[in-house]
Amino acid sequence: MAHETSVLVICEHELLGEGLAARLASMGIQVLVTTAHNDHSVVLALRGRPDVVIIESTDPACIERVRALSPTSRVVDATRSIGRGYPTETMRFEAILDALPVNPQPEALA
Amino acid sequence: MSEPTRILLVDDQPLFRGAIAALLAGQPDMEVVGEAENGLLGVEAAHALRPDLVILDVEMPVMNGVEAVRLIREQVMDVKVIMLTVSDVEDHVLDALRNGAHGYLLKDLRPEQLYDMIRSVMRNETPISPGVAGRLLREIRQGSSKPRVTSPAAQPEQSVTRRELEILRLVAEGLSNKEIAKRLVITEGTVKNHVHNALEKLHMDNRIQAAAYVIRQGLGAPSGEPTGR
Repeated sequence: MAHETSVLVICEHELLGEGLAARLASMGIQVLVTTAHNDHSVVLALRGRPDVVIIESTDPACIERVRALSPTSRVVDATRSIGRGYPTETMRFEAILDALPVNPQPEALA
Repeated sequence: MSEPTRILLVDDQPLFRGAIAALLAGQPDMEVVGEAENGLLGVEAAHALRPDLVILDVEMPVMNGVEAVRLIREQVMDVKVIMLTVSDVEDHVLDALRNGAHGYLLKDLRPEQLYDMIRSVMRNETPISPGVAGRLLREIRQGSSKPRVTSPAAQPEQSVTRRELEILRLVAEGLSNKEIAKRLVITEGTVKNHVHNALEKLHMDNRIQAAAYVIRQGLGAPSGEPTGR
């Protein structure tokens, strides 16, 4: 049976987290979203050992927790994609796609 | 069924922009017709695409959202503009509203709140994030510490009547027309007329701009009068 790619989004801004989830879900990827401040929810979600964890949290302990509880997950730090000012480097959705173990079908990217 | 609201997204962060576009794509009454990555490109896109609504970030390179909203409102007819930002800096809020923004929202909203606020602005309401509204009201209650003379009408007392100014002060306190009517013992329709006339004289589009104007001009209630609710 083929492995179904799973993604966990841990976010401080639900607009970003739910929006990323909507984008990934439209490609047939299983996505779970949890808010970064809900420790219990984060721990529970990490028990599922998602393939990829997208983090949007200014708390550095968040990444440490993910690495400790789900060491096999690939981590994408999207924290700088929302916040004050404007960074010189911008993060693109392709960075998330690159982290997926199996790239989605090309037509899904259109 | 009515046509969906045609929306232009302007934000320098592509990941956030794409996230919002994906969320709005799930709403049958909304359609994202374009995206732009800074204020200047946003103004150009607003010209080219003629959206019903522009959702504008504030802090962006090349041209910020506060300047962009001014140009869009000056140059593009019949377009609504909502600021969607992490910035709750008072100057940004007030300047954006004075420049013609129809709403000021923070990015800590839940998706359902964003949908509701988009729909409310299309009903000619003026949505403000609760956190921002609270800051505005605090400033009103404390009195403006930074009065400026940059309003469309430099001496409002020459054009706005005393009664209209009195009502604008209450608008700036955050009172609804119904609450103002009750306080002044007049009908709600009369309040509505006074607000409408005052906005026309001041060349403003909505009561939030009027509230910002009262704060900026230091026209809050004279000392001794209650300013709280």
